[in-house]
Amino acid sequence: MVNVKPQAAEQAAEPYLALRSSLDGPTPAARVLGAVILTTAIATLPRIDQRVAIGLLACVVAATLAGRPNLKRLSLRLSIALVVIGMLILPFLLSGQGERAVHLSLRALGAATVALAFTSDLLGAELARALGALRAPTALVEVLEGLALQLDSLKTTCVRLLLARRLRGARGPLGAASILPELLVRSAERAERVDLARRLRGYHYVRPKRSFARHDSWALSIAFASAALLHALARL
Amino acid sequence: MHLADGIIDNGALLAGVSCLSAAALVGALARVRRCSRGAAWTGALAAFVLAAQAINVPVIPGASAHVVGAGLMTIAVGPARAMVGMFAVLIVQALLFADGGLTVLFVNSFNLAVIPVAATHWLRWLFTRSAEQRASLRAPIWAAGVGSFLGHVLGAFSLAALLVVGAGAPARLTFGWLVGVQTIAGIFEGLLAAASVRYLARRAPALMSFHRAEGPQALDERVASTGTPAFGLSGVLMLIGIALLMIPFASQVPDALELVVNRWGAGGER
Repeated sequence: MVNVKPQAAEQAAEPYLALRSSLDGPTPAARVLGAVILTTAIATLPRIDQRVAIGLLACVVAATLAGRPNLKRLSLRLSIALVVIGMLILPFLLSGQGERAVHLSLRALGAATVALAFTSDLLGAELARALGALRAPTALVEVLEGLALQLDSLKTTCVRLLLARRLRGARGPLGAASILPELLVRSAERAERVDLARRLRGYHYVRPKRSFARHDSWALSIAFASAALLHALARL
Repeated sequence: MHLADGIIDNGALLAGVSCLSAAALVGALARVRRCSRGAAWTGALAAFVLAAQAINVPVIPGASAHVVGAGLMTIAVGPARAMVGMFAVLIVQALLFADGGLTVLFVNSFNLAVIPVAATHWLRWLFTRSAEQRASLRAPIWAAGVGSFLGHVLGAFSLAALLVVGAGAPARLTFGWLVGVQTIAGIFEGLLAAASVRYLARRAPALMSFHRAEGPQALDERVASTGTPAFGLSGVLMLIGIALLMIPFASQVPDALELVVNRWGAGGER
């Protein structure tokens, strides 16, 4: 295997790729950081009374304004969070701890909503670059990049395998489960081909030099200010 | 089996488990040899696990479960890469789908990555102690099957214990609910993982031995270090710092034992 050096143009552009986003508004790194700040603030609230609940609602509105998410996607993904939270608070509800269940679910739902408001519109590759810009370990970012590259093709390959199986006259859910290992092998083959193609073109991961853009400051300020106000409200 | 933000309000417990999990991840990252082909294969497996975890299958009326995927991943890419891959899956789930919380990312990693990977790896070591066993196909198949099942059950047990100790959830109901559902799910995942490993070992044996030294290295190439993978001492210091910062957030709410003692007296749990 010939060790090809990265092309100069790509290497020069690499540090700025973290700032490129498919979305308007904050860069991916700022979105991830904003989500972490507000989620941590909500998850560590000492108590939730009526006043704090209103503050929490204001926080969700602020996060939505700062992140400018696709509301349809946000509500769809929020339904996943609702199922998870529902499963977790079920023992509380069944044992008659209704008030505690409401408090826990308010906190969990608030945290999930602000996180999604910032990050639900990110693409997988943008998430990997954002984490790279936030100085996550390189090995982890490389795996995330691989994951993002394979995720879309996984669905199309699965649909193709299922169709091929049906055209051969096979039926039944147990038989459909048998395509899983084949799907895995095909994903691995594709991953290897993509990796080889990237390396032959001189690509290798370079950590971004800049994390944030200038226009991120307002979104991060909103996140910091909302978090501080919410905690002040809870401790008054 | 993903924990959401704000459910556990015992800050010290949260910090302790998070540090334990982060230490395991730091160890795994330190052991991962940087090679782009390895990252690509781990990424492909992680994408597969992410897709598989999105499918919730009804286990009992009113409860569903999903596969964890750590057993298959451990056998295919080794424990260190499996842990990194599972952590990548959890990051995507937490940030893009709110499936699992951001502040409990390391707690979820402990239940869904560290415990199942360690269980599968330990079983693999147990089943391959002699040279004859190492040459056999049965060892990885058994390790994947039993490891996936054990990982499911132990992960659910750990989550239930966290809910009971950290959130004051009723013990009998929580353990019965979570461990019961995940035991049934674990049996199915164990069978699925064993079947997948059996198929992989026959159809693509090179993938199965990828993490071993004797594995095919034709395309493998070490990439020159370009970043700062060294996370060792600074990482540990950072974790200790996080733990210290979390202490002021330790909850005033009584823990499960105090709750039980206060409510039902010294007679024990309800």
